[in-house]
Amino acid sequence: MEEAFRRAGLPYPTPSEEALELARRYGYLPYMIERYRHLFESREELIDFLDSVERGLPKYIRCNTLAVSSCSYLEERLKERGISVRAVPWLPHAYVVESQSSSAQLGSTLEYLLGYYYIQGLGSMAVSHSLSPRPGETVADLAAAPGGKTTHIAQLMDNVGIVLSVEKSPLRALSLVANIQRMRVKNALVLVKDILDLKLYGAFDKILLDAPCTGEGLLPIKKERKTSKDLSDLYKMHELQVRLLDKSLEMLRPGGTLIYSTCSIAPEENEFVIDKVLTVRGDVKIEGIGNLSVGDPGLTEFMGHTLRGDLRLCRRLYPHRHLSEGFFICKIKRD
Amino acid sequence: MDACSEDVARPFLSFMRSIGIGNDLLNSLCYEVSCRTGGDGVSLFCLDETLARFLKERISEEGAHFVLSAGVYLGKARDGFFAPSVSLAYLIAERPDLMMRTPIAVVKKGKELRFTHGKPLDKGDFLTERAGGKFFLVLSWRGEPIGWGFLSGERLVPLSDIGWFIRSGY
Repeated sequence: MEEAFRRAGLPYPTPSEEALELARRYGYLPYMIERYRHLFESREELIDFLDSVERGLPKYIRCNTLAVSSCSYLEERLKERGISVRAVPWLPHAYVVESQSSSAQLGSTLEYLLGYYYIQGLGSMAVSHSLSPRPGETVADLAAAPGGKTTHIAQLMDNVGIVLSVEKSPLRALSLVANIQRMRVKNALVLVKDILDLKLYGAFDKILLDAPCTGEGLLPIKKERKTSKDLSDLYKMHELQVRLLDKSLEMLRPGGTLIYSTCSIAPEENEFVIDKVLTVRGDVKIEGIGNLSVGDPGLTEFMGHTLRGDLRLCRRLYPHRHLSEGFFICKIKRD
Repeated sequence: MDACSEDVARPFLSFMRSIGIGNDLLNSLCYEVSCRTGGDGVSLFCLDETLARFLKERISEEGAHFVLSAGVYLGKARDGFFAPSVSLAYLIAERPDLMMRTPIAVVKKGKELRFTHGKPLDKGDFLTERAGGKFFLVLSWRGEPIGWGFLSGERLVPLSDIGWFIRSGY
């Protein structure tokens, strides 16, 4: 595996004594902690991150303006149910759930069934917001199930234009279709196909590639992730993500923009993927995400590997800094 | 995903006529109605012009059989019967000119939970308007579409309701 990492241009994490100690204390595979030692600026921040994983995250919902005319009306309706929400200042339509009475079930209220809101992580909402789709555009959401981002994209487009939602798994595609119906989306088309088999070259104004990943950013809500993925999983994901990104860029029309995102904080699944693909392509460039006011800059160096400087325009979200699941978001424009 | 055959279109059109929506009004609702055949019947979808053209001009090269859903899901036709979807209820409810023709049943406050659990409502738990046909677009006491129903004796029986999402396990 070390040889495979080296050939792929990825740093190979050999756990230090500190990594072994923290891995034992917090219940992680040591290679993960070793990488976090280089990801965060200090031991204090590393521990802050690990503690935030233990604390978990608040719940968030997205108010769906395709179904409800006013989000403040939704707030009142939820209050009647014993659910108190507060708007997230930096993200339109995003609300944090402050409190719930014991009898209130967020996922089964009448308002939920009517499609008035979607239970969605903050990072996930930030991704579609960063894409900034406009009414009338032709947009693709690749790897779309279960539909949080597709339905958000359709909402931002006010159901005008086209959202092509691609999902490889027929079973997962059913949940995508169900959410499209529940959330009153009218302009989506669901295609059950592998992204790598698509022929829609130059077809899209905007593309969201929320790439399949190891889910390292989901640690606060999926603690099993501490030990469920090893280095070979990281390597295989990296290789797949490179292929998916390269293919996705082909489907972008000249002047179009693509958001590459993952629910992972692993540089191997993010900055290293973009660095590898963009280095051999002369027709694309990274742009800043103007409408996203939070997030740490992308990495331009990791474990002794220097990456392209414009990766600093990408954004990283962390649970200990942004009260969000870990996410990576990068905007790429095709010339 | 393809054009709908006459066999499939017939029960759908018949249902729409039964709720007061003839072909002219239907044409104003959907630019095109497309069908997808599955093991449990034929699913019908309402497409606007942009989506219909995209489906024909770009998706055909990917293979129309890979399309699981497009536009608004209208319901399912099987054995000469059409089962309307909740999405069709939303589509009609957005149009005052259609709502004034459609038979409606309004569920009294506190009773919508029973209906959205797929359970029938007793006389006294709902009111009807423009009754005459078999089917009713069912609204909550706040006027929100929560499904379709039909009368069996004096009871309102759910034909489709918004609770399907939870029961489906998604």
